[in-house]
Amino acid sequence: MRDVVIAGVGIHPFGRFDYGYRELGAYAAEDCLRDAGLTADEVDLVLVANVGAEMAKGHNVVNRLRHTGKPIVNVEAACASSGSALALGAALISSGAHRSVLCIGVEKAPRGFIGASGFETWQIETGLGVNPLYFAIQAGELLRDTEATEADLAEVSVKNHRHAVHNPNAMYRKEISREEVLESREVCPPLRLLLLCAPNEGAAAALLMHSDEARRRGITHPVRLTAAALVSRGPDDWFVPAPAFPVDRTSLSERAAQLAYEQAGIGPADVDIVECQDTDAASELLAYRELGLCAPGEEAALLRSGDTALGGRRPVNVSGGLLSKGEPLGASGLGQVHELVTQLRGHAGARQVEGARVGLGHVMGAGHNSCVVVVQR
Amino acid sequence: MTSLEPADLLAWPELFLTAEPGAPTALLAGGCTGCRRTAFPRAARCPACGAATRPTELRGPAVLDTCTAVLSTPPGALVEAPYEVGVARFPAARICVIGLLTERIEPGTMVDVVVHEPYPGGRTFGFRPVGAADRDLAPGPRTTPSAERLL
Ligand SMILES: [Zn+2]
Ligand SMILES: [Zn+2]
Repeated sequence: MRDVVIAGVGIHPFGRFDYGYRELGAYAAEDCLRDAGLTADEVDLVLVANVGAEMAKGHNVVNRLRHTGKPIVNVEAACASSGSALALGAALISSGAHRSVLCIGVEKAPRGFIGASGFETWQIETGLGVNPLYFAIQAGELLRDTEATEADLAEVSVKNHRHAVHNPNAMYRKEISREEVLESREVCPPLRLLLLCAPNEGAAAALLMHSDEARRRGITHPVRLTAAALVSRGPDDWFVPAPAFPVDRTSLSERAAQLAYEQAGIGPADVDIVECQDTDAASELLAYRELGLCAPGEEAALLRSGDTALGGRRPVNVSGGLLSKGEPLGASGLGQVHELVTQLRGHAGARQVEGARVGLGHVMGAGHNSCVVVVQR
Repeated sequence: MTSLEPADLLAWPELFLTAEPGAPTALLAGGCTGCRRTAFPRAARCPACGAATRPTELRGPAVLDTCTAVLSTPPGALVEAPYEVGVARFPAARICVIGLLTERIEPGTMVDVVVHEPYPGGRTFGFRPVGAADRDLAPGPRTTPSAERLL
């Protein structure tokens, strides 16, 4: 994909706050517009990613900024909502329909289990309509089929929490020990509380622009968005909320990653830094395989090598990941993009990945959808 | 390809053959006449390839591939935590189904599909170790056949 640049990024920290989603979203949008040096009325289109708010939510967010008269479209695809907004925005710019698209992701998730994930009534009533159950099944398979152990799962969480100490936008900024993780409350074995991310609140934004427009405006060193690949359920995929899957099932994330690599004209070896959907610790290890960072079965070896930690060859989730930032569903993908762009600009401070030129972001959502984006300097 | 009427999409398919709790049952699935995949729950047309399906039944013995548990009651659930959940693999149909377990079961155990009462008056399908019904009636060693011996 050519001609699409990220002219600005913005974020409201992830956590718990005493104001609403409209304020969170408007904050991130204004932060982004300032970064790009634009005002809201100069944007051709606003896409707002959100899962759980109300009708016309994006309109309510933008109303906090300016009454521009320009189109506003709400985008929802569970945890891949902001990835979907990015893919849509990029396509509209590539096609020439718009010169600039502001993508805002925002969420104010209630505490506790995420409800309304698309389960049928019979699943909910019989206790099968619960997301961590699905992640626990994947984790169980990973422990059964590969060398990965529960200690490796804990190490993913330890690593991401260590990274988050340096990220002012993360909810949990305290190091935790392997013992603390392994002694935390069991939720769905083998997953424990500190092996799972917490749904929370936050917002992030990115201003997409045609490269000609960026040049005209004197945005001299923009980060390029070279891939935004979006896939939904194929014949042999499985994810929340499906009650059954084929014995030889396939991976949505793997397909999204392959498509993204094709769009960007790169391979996994070219990637310097990754932000992936660590909904739970096992999901991060699975992503190593699905994103092509290692061969199947070598997930634990890659983790143990230190390559995916800050200072390693190809760090994963230096932002702290969802395990430390928490997961504001509609904002998580744009939060990844904020981190990747900050890294590629060399502005990440103590968590800076030196010389990062190619970044990859990955989200995966209920209802079977996955989005992989590639940003390049 | 047989035609699919829009009205066919309005009814939610039955999941299993009803019987008394504890009785063996079958999951009501759809076998594709085109690509041969099995879909559960049953759909009038194969979600993978669009061809017509014919009713097929998924019966035990199946292999319990993975298991986990829910340790606190989720919102909306009528069943009370803690309870066990597992994935049963039906080798011939090449499909895995997520369901409640009637007891704690080790992965690799052969299981039957039975009618399960997860809460008073509730009916759903569940997975129970092969031979567990006999075991519960007669005293003796509590062993269940392993997948290796039966497949
Ligand atoms: Zn005025
Ligand atoms: Zn078919």
